[in-house]
Amino acid sequence: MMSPRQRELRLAALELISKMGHGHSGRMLSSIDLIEGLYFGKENERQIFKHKPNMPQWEERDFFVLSKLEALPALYAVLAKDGYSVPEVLPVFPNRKVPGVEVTTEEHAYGLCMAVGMAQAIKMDRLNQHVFCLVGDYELDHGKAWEAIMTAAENKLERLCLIVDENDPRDWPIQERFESFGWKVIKLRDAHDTDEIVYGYMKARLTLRKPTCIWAPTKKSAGVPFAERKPEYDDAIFSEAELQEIKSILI
Amino acid sequence: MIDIKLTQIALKIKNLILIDVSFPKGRFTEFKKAYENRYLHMPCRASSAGILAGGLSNFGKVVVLYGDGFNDCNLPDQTLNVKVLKEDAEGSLITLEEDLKAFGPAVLLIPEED
Repeated sequence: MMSPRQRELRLAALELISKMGHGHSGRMLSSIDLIEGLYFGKENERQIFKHKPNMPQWEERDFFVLSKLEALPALYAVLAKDGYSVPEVLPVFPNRKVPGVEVTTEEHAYGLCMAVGMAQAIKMDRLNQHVFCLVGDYELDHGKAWEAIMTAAENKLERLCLIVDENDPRDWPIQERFESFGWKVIKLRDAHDTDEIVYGYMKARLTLRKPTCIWAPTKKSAGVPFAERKPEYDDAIFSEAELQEIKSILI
Repeated sequence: MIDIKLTQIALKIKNLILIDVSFPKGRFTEFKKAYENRYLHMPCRASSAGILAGGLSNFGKVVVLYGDGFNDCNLPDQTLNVKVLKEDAEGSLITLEEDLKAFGPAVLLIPEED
């Protein structure tokens, strides 16, 4: 059951893709609840993800690194909803010039490697901050991703939380792979349920002496019934008529 | 020589971090002895080390990369202070400290060693 905010964010992100003329609607929709849960999740009225939309460069903030490039419109929608001053014209790749975007990147698995470096800096400086990084499952096919994953475990980067959006289930043992490298793995049962997602983030924050992987099995085009799990919508840009139909479903 | 030189410079540049991808052992024994917390040995992991250096540099660090596999220093964010050390017949250590402090990513040529 989607919350009003989840519905609103879906529509905003899809409209953004339509406006930009660039995007991957189905792949983006699998991630949107994971980002929403991070930015809006609370524990006893305290933010799980420390941030201040009116002070994007606040020194004590936590960091969210978007490695999964297809989810960028979802991040923009969440940032705008959260109160960041998101510009009118938005870049099609993550860029640090946009308030709330921490890393400039244009290639797969780049954000993941950056996030490991940032968590390493946090450890070196003994800062009380966390780095959350969203990666797509396909990014784990890159050698550099596993190099970074190994480095994070060897250096016991407990302030690093990697969220793996598994929207294309394969017969591979994600949990065993990460655990064999020395990571803690938290598997979500329903990666579109806010309570489940927030619970995962809370547990990740408490992990000591090892990095955490949140394994999030998601659905492509989640929340848009006529497109869910249909590959033809994975990289689609919805037409005006389709957007109207989605609006009537969601709102 | 480069090991000693960087160890000396790191005393003055407190935010200098060294990433060494030498295989199988690290090349910078003196540096590691002096600043264990500022030395990362990532054997043969050049493809991730260059980007990871960008993440460290996001926190105001000057990150030095050494080892095979770094031919250039192409980072999409030109504000990151990442320097690649490359051995070259025309390399020099005279201006190394100033070059390390200079803004942005760059390749610095150092003398070849046996």
